[in-house]
Formats: sequence, structure tokens, C-alpha cells
Amino acid sequence: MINKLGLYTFLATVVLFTGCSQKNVGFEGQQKGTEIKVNATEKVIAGTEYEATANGEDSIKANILSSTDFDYYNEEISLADGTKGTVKQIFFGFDKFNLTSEMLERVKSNGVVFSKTKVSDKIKLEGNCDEWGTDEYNYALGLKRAKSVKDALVIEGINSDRIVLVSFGESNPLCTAKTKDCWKLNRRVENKILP
Amino acid sequence: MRIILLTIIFITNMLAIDATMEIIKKNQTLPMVYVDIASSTDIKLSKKIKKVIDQDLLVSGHFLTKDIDYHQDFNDNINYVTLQKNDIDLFLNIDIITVNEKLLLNIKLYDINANKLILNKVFNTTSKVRYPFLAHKIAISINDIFDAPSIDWMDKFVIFSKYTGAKKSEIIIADYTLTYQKIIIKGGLNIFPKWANSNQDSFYFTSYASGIPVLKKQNIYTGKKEIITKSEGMIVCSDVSSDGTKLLLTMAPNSQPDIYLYNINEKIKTRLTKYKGIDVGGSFVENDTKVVFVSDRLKYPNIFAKTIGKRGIERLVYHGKNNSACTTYKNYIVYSSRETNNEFGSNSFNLYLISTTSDFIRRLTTTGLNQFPKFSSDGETVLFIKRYEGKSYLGLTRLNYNKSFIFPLKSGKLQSIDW
Repeated sequence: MINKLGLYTFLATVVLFTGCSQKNVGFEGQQKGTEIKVNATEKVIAGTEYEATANGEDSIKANILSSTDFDYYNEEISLADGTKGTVKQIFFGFDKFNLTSEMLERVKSNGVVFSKTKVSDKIKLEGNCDEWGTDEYNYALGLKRAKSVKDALVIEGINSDRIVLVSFGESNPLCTAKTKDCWKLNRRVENKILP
Repeated sequence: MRIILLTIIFITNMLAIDATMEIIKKNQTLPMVYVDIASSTDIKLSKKIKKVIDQDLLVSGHFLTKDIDYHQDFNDNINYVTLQKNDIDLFLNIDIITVNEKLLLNIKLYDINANKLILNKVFNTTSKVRYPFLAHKIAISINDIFDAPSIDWMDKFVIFSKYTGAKKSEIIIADYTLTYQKIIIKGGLNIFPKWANSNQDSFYFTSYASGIPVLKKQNIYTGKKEIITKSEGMIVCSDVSSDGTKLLLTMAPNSQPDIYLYNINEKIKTRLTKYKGIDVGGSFVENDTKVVFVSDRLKYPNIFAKTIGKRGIERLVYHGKNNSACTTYKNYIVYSSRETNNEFGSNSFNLYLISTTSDFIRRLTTTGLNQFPKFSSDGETVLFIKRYEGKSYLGLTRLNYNKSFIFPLKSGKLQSIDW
């Protein structure tokens, strides 16, 4: 430890008289003797500035759903004759995008309902995932789930040009509780009709 | 003594080149710094500034800090003996002046062992909420004096998106500790922000405002937005070439997620992968001639590489059964690997560092869900998203120092980050 910083001092002197680099965003440096002034020449960032002082509560509130029965989440859509039809959300296994036989039957059932909608209406399939992932892969997984449903609907006679896909990854959970039942509900494809 | 220190610096720099070598720093060889606020018109702010500087010095891996019972007014004579008795090597004295929104920091740095003032510097800003960046500047200045490996990354902007609700997110610019934050985009679902260049004056992001994913670019100073391209299904800007003219996009114009090379000037996209499963997360390597990416072509996500313009795919990672994100620096890859392959129990994701030229592998994290790794531009630090006990953190691993730090997000859930 004795004179450990002796050379530090030497280096410091060198730095003081040769200057030190400054970052190009926000500040520019100037020297005057042994005193260096760093002047602020900041550009104003377009947005809302604040200091992180939130109260620590997660703003995504837990959303406990009352049923693990898949049919509980069926959706109503408008049919060409002015009546309503029911379509079923399609659910998937952990890290999977293939349709089980049970889910294929649900897609077939949806296909019958979609065939009664106006041919000018678009069918939007929204792929979703559980929370085990924050990356692009999760969004791609959601998309592949939507694609699986689309392929099955096309086989059932729905015109592929009518079908629009979009993946919401893990951003659109039905349920945010930390349970396996909840995660199971989030791995799904939702059906929408776009006039 | 000079030769010894230069040797130490040389060895440190040499080791920094090869991140596969583990360096165990002996604490007693690091200078002990005491940061003291000489005077301040804003006590609360002064404590925050001191906290950030202390934190920066520790994160650098080049200094230690401790508090002692010693206080000195800015223009008084220093008591070297007292500081020496407390094993202080460097004494940082800060005078803080605030006038309305303006903030001015006068600093004096003393070498206690040499009985000498070695730095006298003034920092100021017109907006005091930016104090974290002034604090980072001070740490960088101290570090630079000793010619230690650069920590210039500390005052770069971090850009991230966080979920605030179902199909809702915000894009925020912050410092690396998340102490300073500024919302850039609010409302709707806007995700995967990615800096458009090293100047950090604009960024790409995915917007869902029109119902179909659209890739947009926004200038952070003017707020000007432009649409780059769009794709049904998904679109993400995964990487930007070093000259900023080419993008690696994950998009699905035919409902199939593949990696595309997008030329900004010519507005032409070229499909790089054609596998019928999932190909995502492209990252430029080897002078932007090669792409490292994630694919499920082995029936589980893993890391592969492809030379642009050539056929053939190379598998890069032979460890793990679920490696769904990666970042690259020269011959090094850091990837996120899921440790359990089921939905039950405590799922965990850890980060691993490997070399593409040897069988070296090192685990970088131990607890929680660690995802979305991003190398710093000098390859010495990895930024990542950590989820632990229901909270989001920004994680930072200093590869050459075997140190990791986490900084909590006060609300929401981190979606993606870039720096």
C-alpha cells in the first residue's frame, strides 16, 4: 500500500495536462489549467422526463380468472345473416405450436362458424404465449400458433386470403397469476372478425 | 512503481482481450475511495449523487469505496493523516450547487498516499434530473486518470420497453442504473427498441398501432417518426450493421418467421433463412458478413450461424436444450438457456458465455430468469433482463471481473433492452 498511488499521481498529472475525452451526447469538455470545465450542451430529448420514483407496485395487476374450462373463454362474432355465432379460443401445450386432436376439433368447429360470416370480412388470428420468455422467439412461437390455426382453417375451406395473423407474444395475457393453469390459458390463439 | 503499475494495466488490458480467462481481483490491490459531499443546497439530491458515484466506482471493478467519519469543506485544507489512518487511497470531495433546474458539481480528487490534489473539475447540466449522467461522468473521469480499462459505456443511454398492461407498453430512455428515466413513447403496444446508430440519436421499434406490426424509426431529439417496413404476423429489428445501413429483421410476410437483411438506402429486403420452423434474433458478426441467430431446426431453440450470401448453416452451441436468445462479440457468444424444460416448479433461465474457437463455457448468472443479453460495444460487459420473485431488473455482468449487478425496475415488466 505504501505509495501505491505514486504512479497514479503521475498518470493523473499527464491526464490533467493532456485532457480526457468526452462523450458526444450531452456534454463537451474544456480545460483551463488544472481545472476542467464540462459544459452542458445537451440536446432536448423529445418525451416526458422523470426520475424513477414509482412506488414499487407492479402496474400489471394480477388477474385471477374464475375458470380453467376452455369454453369459458368462447367469443361471439357477427354472422352474415345478422345473427351471432360462437368461436372458441385455441390452446397449446408448453413450448408447442402444433394442434392436439382436441384443439383441432375446436378449429373445425370454428371453421363452420367462420364459413357463415361475410366473405368480405377478415378473420384475424392473434397468437399468444405464456410469460416464459421475453424475446423474439416467444413472438415467433405465438405466430406459429396462429399459423397452425390458419392452416387448419384453410383445410376446412376458409379462403386463406381472408385470414390475417398477428403475434402478441407474452404481451396479452388472459391471466397474470403465477400458476400453471394461468400459463395454460395464455398459450392460445384468439379469433377476431374484422369488417 | 511506475513500471509495476504499467505492467498491471498492460496485463489487465491483455486479459480483457480474452474474456474466457477468469480474473479474480484481489480487493487489497484496488484503491479505496471515500466520496464526501463538501456542501450542497439540496441534501436529498446530494445523497443520490453520492450513491450513484459510489455505485459506478464499484461497478467499474477498478475501485472500492467506503464511508468514514470525516468531512471537509470544499476549500479547506485536507487532513491527509486522518484519511491515511482510515486506509483511504483516494478522497473525492464534491461541492453541489443547484439553481432552479441547473446543477453544478465541483469536484476535487486527492491522492492520499501522495498527499496531492490530482483532479479539479467542474460538471454542470441545465436539467438536474440528469444528475445520474453527471455522476457517471465523474466516475469515468476518475477511471480515466488511472488509465484503467474504459468505462465510457456508463454514460451511454439505455433504451428499453416495458409492459404496463395487456397490449400496452412504454419505450423509455434511461441511464444504465435506471435512476434516470424518460418516457419516449407511451400508449399502445410499442416494443423491441433498437438504437439505429452509435450516436444514439434515433432508434427502431415495432409498433402495433395499425393492428399489423410495423417497424418504425424515431429521432429522440426531434420526435420525428418514419415507417421503415411492415409485416403481417411479426416484425422485429434484431440488429443494425456497424455503418447503420443494413438491418437484420425477423419478419413473416408469408406467415413464416424468418430472418431478412434489409438495406435502408435501397429499401430492399433479402430473405436469409428459409427453414419452415422458427428463425429469429439475427445478430451481425465478422464484419457484418455473417449472421448468428436462434432457430428451432433441432426441434428446440438453439444458436446457429450463416454466412450472408452462402448456403449452409453452422450450429454454434452444443449445451442446453432451450437457448432462445443470444448476443455476440467477436468470437464470443452469450446466450440465454432455460434450465428446466417443463412448465412446473421454478423455471429458470441462465446466461452462458462461450467461445466459438474453443470448448470454453462459463455460466454468468445463478438465480431467476435471465434473458435478452446484449454485449457492450467493447465486449467487456453484458446487459440483460432479469426477472426474479416477480420483479424486473436490469442486469449487468462485468465479464473480466466476475461481477454482476442488478438494478430494479420500479414498475412494469421489462420487455427488451438495447444500449
